[in-house]
Amino acid sequence: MNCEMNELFGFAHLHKNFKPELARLVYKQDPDIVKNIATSEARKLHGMHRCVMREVHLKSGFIRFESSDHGMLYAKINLEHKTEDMLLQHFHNRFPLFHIVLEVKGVSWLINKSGVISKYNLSVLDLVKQLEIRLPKNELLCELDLGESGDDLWNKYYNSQYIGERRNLKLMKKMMPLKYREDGFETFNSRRCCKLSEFF
Amino acid sequence: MNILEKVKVLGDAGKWDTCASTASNRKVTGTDRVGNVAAGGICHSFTEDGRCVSLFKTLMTNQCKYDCKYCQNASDCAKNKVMYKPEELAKVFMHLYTKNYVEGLFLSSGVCKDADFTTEKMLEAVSIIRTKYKFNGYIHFKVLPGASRDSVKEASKIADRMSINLEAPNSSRLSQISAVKDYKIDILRRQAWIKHIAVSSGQTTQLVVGGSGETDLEILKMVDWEYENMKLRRAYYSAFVPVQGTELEWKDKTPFQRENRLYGVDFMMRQYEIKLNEFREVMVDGNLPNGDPKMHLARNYFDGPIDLNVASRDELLRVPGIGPTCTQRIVNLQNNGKKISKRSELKSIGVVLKRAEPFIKIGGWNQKTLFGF
Ligand code: SF4
Repeated sequence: MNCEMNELFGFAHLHKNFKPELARLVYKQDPDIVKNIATSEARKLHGMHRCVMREVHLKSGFIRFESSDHGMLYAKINLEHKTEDMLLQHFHNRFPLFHIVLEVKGVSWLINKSGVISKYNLSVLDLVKQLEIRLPKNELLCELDLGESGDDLWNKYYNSQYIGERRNLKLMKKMMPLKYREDGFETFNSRRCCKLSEFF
Repeated sequence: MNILEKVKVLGDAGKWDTCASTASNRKVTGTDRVGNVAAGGICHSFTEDGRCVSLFKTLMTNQCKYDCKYCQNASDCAKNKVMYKPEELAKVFMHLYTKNYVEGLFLSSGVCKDADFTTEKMLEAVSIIRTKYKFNGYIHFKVLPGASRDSVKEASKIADRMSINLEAPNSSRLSQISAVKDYKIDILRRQAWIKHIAVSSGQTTQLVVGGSGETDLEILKMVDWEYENMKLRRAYYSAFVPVQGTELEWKDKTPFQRENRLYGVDFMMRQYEIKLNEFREVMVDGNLPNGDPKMHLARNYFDGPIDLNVASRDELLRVPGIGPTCTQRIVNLQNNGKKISKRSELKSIGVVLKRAEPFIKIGGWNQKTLFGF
């Protein structure tokens, strides 16, 4: 039962509007009804859980990293909920050979190669600069650094994937809500976008 | 041609393959690696056509000795023919992956010289990615028509998913779009090999919808057979779009609604275990009627509104607006002796009332007439 409840509500507490009273109320209701989301309170709490999961899921795909030759991948991002830890863990599992730094609202979060998370009241660029002095060069990231043409690679590739006959901005917008796209995201610069307003 | 141009040309040539799935249950361990797989697919961007960009989907080369009439890489359409060097492709991919632009690699190719020559180059690129760059993430490897059994085996060792495209639902339809490809030998035989080798994320295939004048029934019959006999994980459907410079550039494009209808039926066959024969009953001359197939199926299936508190799983699944998760929740409530008596409860459970109402009774009475919808 606990396992089922966890699956339905487990991350609701990371939602920006989470209230402990709501969770207490839901956990007092008939479990057979609650685990099938058949009350409005259960639905609300489940909605919060899903919102959090959605942010983690979408951000896992939409965050774009800069790389430092000293073994760091870093990005400045916006988050609506308290999902820094989950995202850092996700990227640590993906890149255990590198340190990951994410800046959220002026605070930088670092997960090192051993998986330890620490918080710094510095911008990501300042933190990376300081760490670069102490960390050795990372061969792999040095080799993969393609300089300025690196960013062009993505733009060329991204633009090559579009099929004009299938144009469907409504679907694109639905799949990639504006609030989850970071500044400078590829779609903001799209050459095919006749009106910026089409994206909003 | 410089690397940026290659990325553009070979990305453009590879964009017609619609498979974008990246989900894998493979267990990744150890820390001396780059990359991981995720059990649920992750999308990294979407283009303005609404399709997800999650894989670095590219061809090794756009030179091809085959003659598929709809394809811009066919032997007759000689223009801008290029090939990646394996090291080049590996580096471009790894660069995109570490910046988190993509979730994995989808490597396909035209058939240059012969299938094994091209496959060897593809394997070389993937080995660099797997060994030199220690990449442990997702790779979809396309098997080329005519590739040898050994090369298919080699590919299976480094790929998560493999596929070879059917393109058409049977050999006579394929002969209308390619005079050279042999349906049974070039495609089905390779699919059988992939099935026996068994890669972690299984095999998929793609059909061009409307490329050879085929009906929906022909397509669905073949796909149904493939799910049964080739352990196909998923079929993809790509509505035919005429490409300039190809033999079929004069042909009208297939409406995307047809592609959507096929996806809808395919989903119901896989997830709801509804048999193809049931869809046959609503088809007209072998084609699905316009509109939502689930709605047609429901109209054909139900005599009147059903009481959700006693309906079976099979009945619930056939109600538009009720998917597998809602069905399970309703069945759970039935099993626990709990009755649904209000619309708000159904809404909470996740039922799309607007679609479901004509087919269901809530608290003993239904809200709209069945055919008034
Ligand atoms: S085999 Fe046919 S579809 Fe594939 S690249 Fe060659 S010509 Fe195109």
